[in-house]
Amino acid sequence: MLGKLVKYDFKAVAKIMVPIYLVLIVLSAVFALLLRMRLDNGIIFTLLSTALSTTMIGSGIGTLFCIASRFNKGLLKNEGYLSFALPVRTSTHILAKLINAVIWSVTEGAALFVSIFLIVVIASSSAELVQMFRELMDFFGLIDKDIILGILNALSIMVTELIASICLIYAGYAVAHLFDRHKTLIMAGFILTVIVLRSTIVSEVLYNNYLDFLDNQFLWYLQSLIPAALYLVLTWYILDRRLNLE
Amino acid sequence: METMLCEGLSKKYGRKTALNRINLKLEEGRIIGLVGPNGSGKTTLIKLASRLLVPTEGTIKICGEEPSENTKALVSYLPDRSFLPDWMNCEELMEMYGDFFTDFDRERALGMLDNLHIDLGMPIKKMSKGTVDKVQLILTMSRHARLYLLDEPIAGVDPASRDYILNTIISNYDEQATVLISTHLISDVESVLDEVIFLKEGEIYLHRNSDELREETGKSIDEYFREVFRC
Amino acid sequence: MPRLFSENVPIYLQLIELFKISVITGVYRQNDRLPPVRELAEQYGVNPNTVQRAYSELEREGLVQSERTSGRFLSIDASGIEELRKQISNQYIGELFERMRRIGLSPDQIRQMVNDWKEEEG
Repeated sequence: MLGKLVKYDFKAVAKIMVPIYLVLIVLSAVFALLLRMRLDNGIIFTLLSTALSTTMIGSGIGTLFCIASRFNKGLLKNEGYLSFALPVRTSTHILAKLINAVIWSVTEGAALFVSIFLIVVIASSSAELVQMFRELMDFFGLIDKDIILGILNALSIMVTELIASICLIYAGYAVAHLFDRHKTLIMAGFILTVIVLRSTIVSEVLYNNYLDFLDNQFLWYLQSLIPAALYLVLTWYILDRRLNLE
Repeated sequence: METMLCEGLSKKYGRKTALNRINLKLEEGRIIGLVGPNGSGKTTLIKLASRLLVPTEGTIKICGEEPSENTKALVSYLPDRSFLPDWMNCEELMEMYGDFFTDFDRERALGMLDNLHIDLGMPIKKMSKGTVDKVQLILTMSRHARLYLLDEPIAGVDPASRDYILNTIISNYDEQATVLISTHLISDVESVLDEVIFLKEGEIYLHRNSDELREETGKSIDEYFREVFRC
Repeated sequence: MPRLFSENVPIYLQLIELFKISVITGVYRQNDRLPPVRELAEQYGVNPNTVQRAYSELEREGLVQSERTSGRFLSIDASGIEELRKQISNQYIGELFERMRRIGLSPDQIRQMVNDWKEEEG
């Protein structure tokens, strides 16, 4: 069931994001070509670079929008009547939305990476590319195990933070669902309050009590995962016991 | 085994009581009408049966079990509004229903969609409201469920299509299933009802066999309803 | 689906009357296989259980014979049909008398009016 839910959510987002990614790739390629052919003056180039940067930013906003929208529209609006009629647990619904959100976040990152990579590869001459490759190899030669581990850790903490943020957005929607009016205000207020509260707790409790906090991997993960778990439990409780679709 | 059993079932929102200590038993093989004015609690009862709401007090059981993801597999719910993802078309919707509901009968759905000349490739967002209503009903009735909950199935629909819908309900009749139809349009559906439940201000005013009620009151159910609920 | 039924009278009784008329007018004949419940329900736009009840009542009256595997059959002979005709006619006469009594006519007056009654020309 979880897989099926993710499949349909994935398709729903793909309908919006795939065209955007195609535009992004095309614009990147054209931009790079213009650079390569030294046509980087004039109106067309300016327009194109504006379009490209807009698309890059737009795809990020689009992904965020889709993640939020899939949750809100899929569970708390009219589609919720269908979702909650499916023989699936509430927890499964939430997990499916979360998984889909992470998939598309990663895809967004990959799309931006591909876009930049494409620009670099297309715009550079072969000599420049070989030079870049050599410098990259030198750089990798300098890296040892610890640095790689450090980078991976940082990345996974960032991913954990991302997941926690998505859970917070879901909790925001859930809390706003409890009210009939001013939903946006309530959601914003809730999220802001939680962010402030969390920072306060983290700095007061952790910084003061654990001098080696900054180096302690474990605590970094905890200060993301525990809030994330709380947000999820809150979201689950509201959707399972306090749902009131209209 | 009764399809639905409510014992002392109440649902409150803050100070407002939508359903007040309902005791109700629905047997299989019946088509039952749930009638009452707006705000009498009809939709609340249906939502409790499909677990879109949870009780404040008392219990409700579907085929002996409290509402859960398991009972949802036995219940086919048709809400009184548009609930399908609007970017999907009928073909994709049938695939989705088949994916999630093991009792979904694709052949039956195709037959009905064909009868009504509905374009399988057209997305919901491009369809007229009347057509969307029909698609929703077709998908709902194409499941072999134990309990069908139809919330105002004919309200937004033209008279000819109403006949088709009522005919669909009759022809899909299953001895082991219960169909609960919540509606205001009593005179249109009463010939199809085995039993009728009058819901008044969150309480059950009566639950009788239709013909017995006609015999006792000498009136149609619609007439008697107007009498009972006279403003 | 035409509205054949007035809904202030139990529908199963109306189905029974309709059935008897069908027998009298020869729509169903002796030993004919009768339509199954579902078919009649769809045809008339009524609940299958209502049709079932009508059939059960007809079986009780001996008009219908039910064989487990082969279905339901009409079980009546010529004199039985006459009986039915008389039965239904008496029912209609009773209804006529009731209605005319309600507008203040005595049984004798009613009989007189029936005798004098001529179907309208044109």
